[in-house]
Amino acid sequence: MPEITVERWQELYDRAFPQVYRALVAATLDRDRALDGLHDAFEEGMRHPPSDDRNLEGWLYRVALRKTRRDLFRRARETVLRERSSEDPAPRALRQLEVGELLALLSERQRTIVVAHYYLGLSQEEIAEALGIRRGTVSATVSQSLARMRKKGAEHA
Amino acid sequence: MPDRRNDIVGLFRRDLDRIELPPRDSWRPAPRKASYLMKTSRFVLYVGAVAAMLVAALIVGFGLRDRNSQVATSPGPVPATSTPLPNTTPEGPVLLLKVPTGSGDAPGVVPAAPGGISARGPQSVAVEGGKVFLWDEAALRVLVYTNQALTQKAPLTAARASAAALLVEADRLYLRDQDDSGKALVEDEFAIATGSRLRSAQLQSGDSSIYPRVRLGPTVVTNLAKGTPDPLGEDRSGNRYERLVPASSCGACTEFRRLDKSGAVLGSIVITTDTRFEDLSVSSDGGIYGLSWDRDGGNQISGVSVWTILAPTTAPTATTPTRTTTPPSAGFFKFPCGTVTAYVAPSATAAGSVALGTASFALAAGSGPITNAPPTVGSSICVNGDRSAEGVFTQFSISPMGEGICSTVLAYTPASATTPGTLDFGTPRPPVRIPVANGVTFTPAQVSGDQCFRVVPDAGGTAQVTAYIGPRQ
Repeated sequence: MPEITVERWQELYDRAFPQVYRALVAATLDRDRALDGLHDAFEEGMRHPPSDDRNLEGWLYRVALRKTRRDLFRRARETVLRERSSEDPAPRALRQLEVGELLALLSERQRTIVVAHYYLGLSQEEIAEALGIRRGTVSATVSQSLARMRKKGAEHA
Repeated sequence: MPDRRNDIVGLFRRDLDRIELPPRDSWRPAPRKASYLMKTSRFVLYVGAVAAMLVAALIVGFGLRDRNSQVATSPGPVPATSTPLPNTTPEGPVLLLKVPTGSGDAPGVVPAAPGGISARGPQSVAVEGGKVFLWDEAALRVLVYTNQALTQKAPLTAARASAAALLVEADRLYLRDQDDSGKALVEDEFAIATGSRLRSAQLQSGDSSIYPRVRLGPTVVTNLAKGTPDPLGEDRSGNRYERLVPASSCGACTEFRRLDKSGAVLGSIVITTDTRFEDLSVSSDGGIYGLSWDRDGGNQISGVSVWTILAPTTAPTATTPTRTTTPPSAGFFKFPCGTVTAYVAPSATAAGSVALGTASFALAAGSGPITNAPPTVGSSICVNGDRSAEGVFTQFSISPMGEGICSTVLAYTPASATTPGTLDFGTPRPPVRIPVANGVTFTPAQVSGDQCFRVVPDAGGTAQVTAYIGPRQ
């Protein structure tokens, strides 16, 4: 497998950006965190690019999520999180979409896994590897999340 | 809430694809502002360095004053050194071409549009063989200038207006753009002489470019992070070119570099200019060129200028392009079609196989068939699906031979009356290349985007494309 050069990395990043950004917004319900996380992942890739370009979306998603979590803790310490979240129009806009309404029922961890599976198209094995959890946990989380979303769907029907 | 997996995936894609993307120039990180902590740290270091130098001076002074005393002193601290600037002289780029915008033979301007879309002039430039090629998107053409005079107009009627990243190699032109979904890149190859589109490729993540050498684009990052190199492309010898804002402060300066394959710097120039480059390109002989728009007093675009930033070098002697102009056949699998002579169904835990004639294809455990009935011995079928790097089907479906293939066309080489052509398809992954029967040709529209083609075996049993069916629904 050829090594990923800096320019190849930048090209790959630009291509993957739209889908991974949207996935991060859906998972975090926060556009700023999504963009900050991707910026950090970009720089991480500049320093230590992934070993190959297979499942690049998964790599970016995982690294950006890790960065957004770190950022979340930092912001929580600065006690500005609540203010920022309420100002960010992303959750409100997302909730106007059918999927957004359903995702809002889930925890961030559940959203992270469900979005990776159904939007990024990652397999359960890939999600488990990317997030450092067991495949069974991924499978159970997907099932629980679907059940919760279906229940909501049935209430609406 | 839909129940089937495909419906759930469709729902996620439909809704999440509607999430608005941030402006294109914010996708990559902007230069970081120094935090209070960093500023404080820098101040402490600065004060520390000054204090250290003072201490050293005092020690030396005492040493000089008490030259004859026998009091031993420890070695003084070493003063901090600053990172030197590159060993080049800041200077401005050299004007190569300046033409007014307008109508007729002049490069055009796409007017501003509601919604905050600014007016824009020619988006991209390439310089080759003493000629300047301007991508005039307002008129969908490339204007060619020799010695500042317009010498050719190549109409590219099949080009995307928003394309950029113009590259010229031999008798071909290349343009690149993002597709409408923002998820893929679209690359087109044109003949300079006629302007006709020869190939079109939609590239997903991991697909190979059809460009004969690496070229920046379709966008140029305007806010470079200090000290982070931004690659511009390669020359025909494989030397790399990049620009960066030096970490050391030098005002509004940018460094442009030429590096060999090992990363050693062969040459560099630091320029100080307020000119905003809309595009930057590398010529095959190693020159770096910039494109800027001239503005009148009312800030309207009135002309276009092309600048030589780094002069070409005569050093590279290799004439063989570092990348071939056609995708390497090694990157493609044969599209398996034929009469089934054996079939071992894969289970959830055990691999299987299907034999078409004398060729056998491995099927991974749990790979399918995902949509329809398993193949039966004696039937004529094609096997579709994703494959691993080793060629093992990781998921597959079966279609009757002659039914055709629907996929994204990556590249197309027309057949002649006596030699077959090729069609490269982006899905299943990795891409497959299928021969096109002798004498069968397609229009540019038929080999652009998602299309369906009839596939039947030739006399030797090899699948080949024989006809166009229509766009994929």
